[in-house]
Amino acid sequence: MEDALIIELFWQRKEEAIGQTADKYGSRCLSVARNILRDDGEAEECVNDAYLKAWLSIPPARPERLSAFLVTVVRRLALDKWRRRNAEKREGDRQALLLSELADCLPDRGSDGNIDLWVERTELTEALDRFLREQKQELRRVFVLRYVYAFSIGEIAEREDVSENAVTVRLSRMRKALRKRLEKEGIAL
Amino acid sequence: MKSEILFVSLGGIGEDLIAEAMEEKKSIGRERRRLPLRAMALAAAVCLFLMGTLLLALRSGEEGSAPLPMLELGVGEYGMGREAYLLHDIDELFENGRLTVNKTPKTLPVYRNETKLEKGTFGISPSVSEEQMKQKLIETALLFGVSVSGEEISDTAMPKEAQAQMKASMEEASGLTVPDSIFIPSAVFAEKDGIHFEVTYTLAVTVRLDQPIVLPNGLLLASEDLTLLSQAGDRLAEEYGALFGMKEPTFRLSGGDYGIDGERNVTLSVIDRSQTPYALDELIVYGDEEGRLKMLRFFDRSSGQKMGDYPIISEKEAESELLAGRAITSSEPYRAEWEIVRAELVYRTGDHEPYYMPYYRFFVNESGTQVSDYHREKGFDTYAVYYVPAVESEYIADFSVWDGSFNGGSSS
Repeated sequence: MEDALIIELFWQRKEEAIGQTADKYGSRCLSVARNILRDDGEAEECVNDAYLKAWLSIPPARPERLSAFLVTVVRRLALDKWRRRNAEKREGDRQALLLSELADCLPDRGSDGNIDLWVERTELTEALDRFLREQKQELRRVFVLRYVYAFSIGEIAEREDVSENAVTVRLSRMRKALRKRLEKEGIAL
Repeated sequence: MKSEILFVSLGGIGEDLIAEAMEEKKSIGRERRRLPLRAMALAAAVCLFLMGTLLLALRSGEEGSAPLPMLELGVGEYGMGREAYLLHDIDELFENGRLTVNKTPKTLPVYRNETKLEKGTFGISPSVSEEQMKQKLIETALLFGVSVSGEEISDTAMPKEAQAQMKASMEEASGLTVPDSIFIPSAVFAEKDGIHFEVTYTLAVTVRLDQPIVLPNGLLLASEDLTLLSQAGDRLAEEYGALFGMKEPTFRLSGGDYGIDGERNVTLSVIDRSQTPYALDELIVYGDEEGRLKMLRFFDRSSGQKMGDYPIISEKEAESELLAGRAITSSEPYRAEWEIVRAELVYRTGDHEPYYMPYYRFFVNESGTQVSDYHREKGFDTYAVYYVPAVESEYIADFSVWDGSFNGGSSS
């Protein structure tokens, strides 16, 4: 069923909306949640919570792309669960690994005397959006698959039909470029 | 932690960027390089297809009959819910009156499901028309001596104005033409002379009595004694099975599993013994708390086109398929450490099945992995169900197994 029709079912408060959503995007949501949480049971809970959040948000929301909306919700819920479960970074934990990779992208507040701007998260999101749109598709896809969908290097390599080394190199290039861009825009935390 | 802020912020980027990453990768350069290989693969596929057709033609020539049509199964049934049984032991599950069949028949018949529900872009589309549903209701009412006219029949469809508005809205949103079939009502119904008649969009018939019927000779439909229930059932089979056109109606008692409340589930139904080797038509009987006949539900599954008599694999071959992960299930993919406790040949008869065809149904003990602590303490365990097509795979055009979404299933 087309996204527009599923969203219409939400607006009409028809419970079939949840079933249709699960049928179409259940696997993808579960995959994202599992990638972050590495636990089937918690991932399933997370996805069910995401369906509930969708039910409570639509209406008034009317997302243009339901899949992206759901992925965003699932990521946030999964990260919350992950935070509660882990007080500190654990070696071998994928989510911890993702976060450690991203740590280098953000300039430190005060690390450069000229950067003294404290940004709201929305400004950061807009900057990330602009940055990604300017990149080549093959670089952008790898970056989004890693840091939005939380896939492993191996999984990305398989999806993109490239070597793992190529994925690692592309991610490294993107992180460096992102840091430069954020510095240039005066964004720091 | 600033990296967490970055991680969360990334979730707010444009939906198109998030969606783009999951789209199938397009690479013109790679396609050009692959073209010669693809051409070879296509040629090979054509050769295989032609060889397959030739083999089938040769085989049918040996049997002296037309080639058997390929069966396109697609994905298994849709719906919510998991088919699993709560039992102390698999032997608690019973089915009296099941038609016996040679355990490994050479062939079994396959019938097209003429009332299949199609799952399309705009929702469920029935294969039958509203007129067919109404006609079925009128015919059923006559069986009970009640004359119902078309004007006396109501339906579950939304008002025509609302249909037109919804259709316009959906077409505007999608840019596609919305078929009228999605507005066919899910059921038509009428009430007359104290009897309620209902026919669904799969032509399943329900007859409900305002005044439940007391069975003769003190027979009851609410006894815990299965022998007494069987006696009541025999009486009903004789009277109502024939009413619904069964040539050799016979009573069947089945069930034995438990609900979460600890009550045992038992289904009382009437089948037609003349339909061999498996009875597809089914008349389910419902009693009220006092054991009186309250409701009947009839499923006519034998009127569809017969596709043919298809060669059947052995139980051992089916078990290999299950171990290889090629089975329909609404449970988790089968795990090798789970014990297969029972196997039987059944026909799947769900509303979305394209055919009524035989499957091997495997009951698997989930070894305490899915049962609640409450039920485990009471000695229960859960038994999941896995279905493997019994028809030889060369006659099956496509067969997709459970992809992780929630499904339901049913069989007879």
